[in-house]
Amino acid sequence: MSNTSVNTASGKRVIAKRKWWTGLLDFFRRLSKNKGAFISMFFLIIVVLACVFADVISPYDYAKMDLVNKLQFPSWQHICGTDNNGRDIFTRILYGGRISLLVSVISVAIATVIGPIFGALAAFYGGRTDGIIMRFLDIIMSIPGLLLSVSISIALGTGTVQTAIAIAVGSIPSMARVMRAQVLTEKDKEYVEAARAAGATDTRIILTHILPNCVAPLIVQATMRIGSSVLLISSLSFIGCGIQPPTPEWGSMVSAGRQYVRTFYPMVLFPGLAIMITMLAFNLFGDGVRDALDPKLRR
Amino acid sequence: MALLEIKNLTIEYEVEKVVVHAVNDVSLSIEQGETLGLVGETGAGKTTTAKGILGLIPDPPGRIVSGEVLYKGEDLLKKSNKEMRAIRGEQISMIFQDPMSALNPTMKIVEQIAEVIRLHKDCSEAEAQRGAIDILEKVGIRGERGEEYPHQFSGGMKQRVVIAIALACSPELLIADEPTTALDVTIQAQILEMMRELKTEFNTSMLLITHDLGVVAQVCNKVATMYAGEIVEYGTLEDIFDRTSHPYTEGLFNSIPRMGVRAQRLKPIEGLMPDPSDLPGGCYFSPRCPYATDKCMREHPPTVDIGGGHLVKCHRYTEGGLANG
Repeated sequence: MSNTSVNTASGKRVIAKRKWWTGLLDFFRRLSKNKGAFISMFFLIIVVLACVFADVISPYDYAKMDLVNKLQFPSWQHICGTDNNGRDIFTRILYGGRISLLVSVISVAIATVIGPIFGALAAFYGGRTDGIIMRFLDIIMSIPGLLLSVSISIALGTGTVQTAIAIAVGSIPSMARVMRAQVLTEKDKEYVEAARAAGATDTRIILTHILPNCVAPLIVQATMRIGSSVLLISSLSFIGCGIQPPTPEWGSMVSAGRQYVRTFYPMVLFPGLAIMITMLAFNLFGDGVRDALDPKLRR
Repeated sequence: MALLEIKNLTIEYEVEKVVVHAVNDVSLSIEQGETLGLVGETGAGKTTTAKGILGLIPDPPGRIVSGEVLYKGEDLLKKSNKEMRAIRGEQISMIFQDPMSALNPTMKIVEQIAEVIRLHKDCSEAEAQRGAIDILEKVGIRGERGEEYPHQFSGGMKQRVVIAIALACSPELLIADEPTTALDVTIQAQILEMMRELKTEFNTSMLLITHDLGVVAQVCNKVATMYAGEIVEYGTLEDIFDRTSHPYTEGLFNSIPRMGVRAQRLKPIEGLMPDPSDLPGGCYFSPRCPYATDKCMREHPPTVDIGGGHLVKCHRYTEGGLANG
C-alpha cells in the first residue's frame, strides 16, 4: 500500500529480525513436544560433537596397530575392546563416524536437493517434460544401486565428496518420484490456481506454494536414506572403492568383523550398535521435524 | 467504452480426440462499476468463461478457438504470459468457489495477502504486511488473526480472507466464481453484503458467477443466462426478472419456490443439459424446451434484440416466429 508511514526502513528490519527468531524458537518449542525427536536431536548433537572431537576424547590412534593387544574384550583401557589388529574399537567408531555421517549426510543432501527439483518440474509441467525427466530417472533406477555407485565411484575416484556423489546419484530417482507424486496431488488444488490468478510466476508457485506442502514425505524419505547410505558406503569400501583403509568407517568395520562373529563379538557389535542407534535417532528426529513443520498440528 | 468486452469467445477442451465445446460464441460486456451476473446450471461453461478472461485455461487440454477479450480496449488473449501476470491480481482478480481449498495450508494468512501486494506493488515486506492487515480488517477480521493459519479459520472467515486477497490491490474487475456456494445461508448474506460494500468503496466492477437467482437479484445490475456454453438471454436485472423471455430462464425461475405463490409442486426443467461434446443440432435447448418446434430442432437460433439491449437467443423472437422457417 502506498499510504504507509515514514519509518519503513527501520520498521522493516525490526519485523524481519523478530520473525526469524520467533520462527526458529517456535520450531524448537514444537519439536520439544515430541520427546523422542527431542532426545534424538540431543543424541545426534552429542554424536556429532564426539566425532568432531574424537582426537580429544580418545587417547589412541585409530590406525596404530598393537598386535600384542589384539582381539581384547571390553575393559577399562579399551571400553569397546580392540580389533584383530589391536586397534581400539571405540576410537575407530568415533573417527569412523566422521566419515560415515559426513558422507551419508552429504549424499542425502545432494539427493534431497536435486531429486525433488526434477520431480517437481516433471509433475508441474507434465507432458513431454514429465516424459523426458522420468524416463531418464527410470534408466538410472534400472541400474542396480551398488553397480551404479561402484561405477561412479571408480570414475570419480576415492574421497569424501566423490563417494557422497556416487551414493547420491542412486538416491535421486526415488526422491524425485516421491516429490512428483506429491506435486501431482498438490498442483491441481485450488490454492495453486488462486496463486496463479493472483499473478504469481511458475517459479514462485512451485517454491512458495507447492513445495512447502510437499516436504513431509521428503523429510521421512531423506532420514531413511541416511541409514541406507551408511550401508552403501560400507559396501563401496568393501569392494575397494569409496573410503580407503586405514580410514575407519562404520560399515567397513562391521564387515571386517564378520569373520570373527562367532568368537569375538565386539568387532561387529559396537560399530553395528553405532549404526543402529544413530539411524534410529535420525528417523525419530525426521518424524519430529515433519510434525513440527506441519501447521495443522500446531496449537 | 466498456471495461471488459468479450466478443465471440469460443473455448474447447480436447481429450483423447473428443472435443468438448465448453464455451460457444459468447459475447458480453461489463461497464465500469457494474455487476454482471452469469447464471446457469453446473457445466454450462461459466467457470470456463471466467478462466478464459484471466488466461487460466489449462492448455492442453483447453484451447481458445476464437474470439476477443477486450479489457480497456486491449485484447487479453494476445498478451504475453508476463503481461498477463501483471494484470492478474492487480487489474482483474478472482474469488474462488471453495474457500476451504483456495488458501495455502502452510502459509500464514497475512503472508498470503501480503504476497499479492508484493507481487504487484513496489514496496517493502513490512509495507506489504501492513497493507495486508489493513485489508484484513476491512473484511471484518481482527488484524492479529493474520498470524494464524487457514485451518484455524471457519469457512465464512476463509471466504473473507479469499475476498481480502482478491481486493488487496484494488482491482478494476473482480471475478467471483460462486463465492457463496460453499457457505451456509446466514454467512452467504453477510458475505454478499460485504462484497457489495467493498465493491462500492473500491469502485470495482464485478462478474458474479452463480446458479442462485436470489444472489443475482441482490447484487447484480445485469444478468446473462448461460446454457450449454452459450449466452441465451442477456439484459438488465429488470429485463431478466420481470420480462423473462427465453424458455430456459423461465424454467430456472419456475424451479425455485416463491413466496406468495402456492404451488403444489415446483416445475423443474425436464431432462439434462446436453453433452457438450455432442451438442444437438438446431437450438441446444430444444430437446428440453416446452415450446420447441421442428424449426428449433433444425436451425440454430440467432441472437435477437427484443428491446433496449435485452438479447434473446430463441426462435420465438426471430422474424417469422416459430411456425415457418
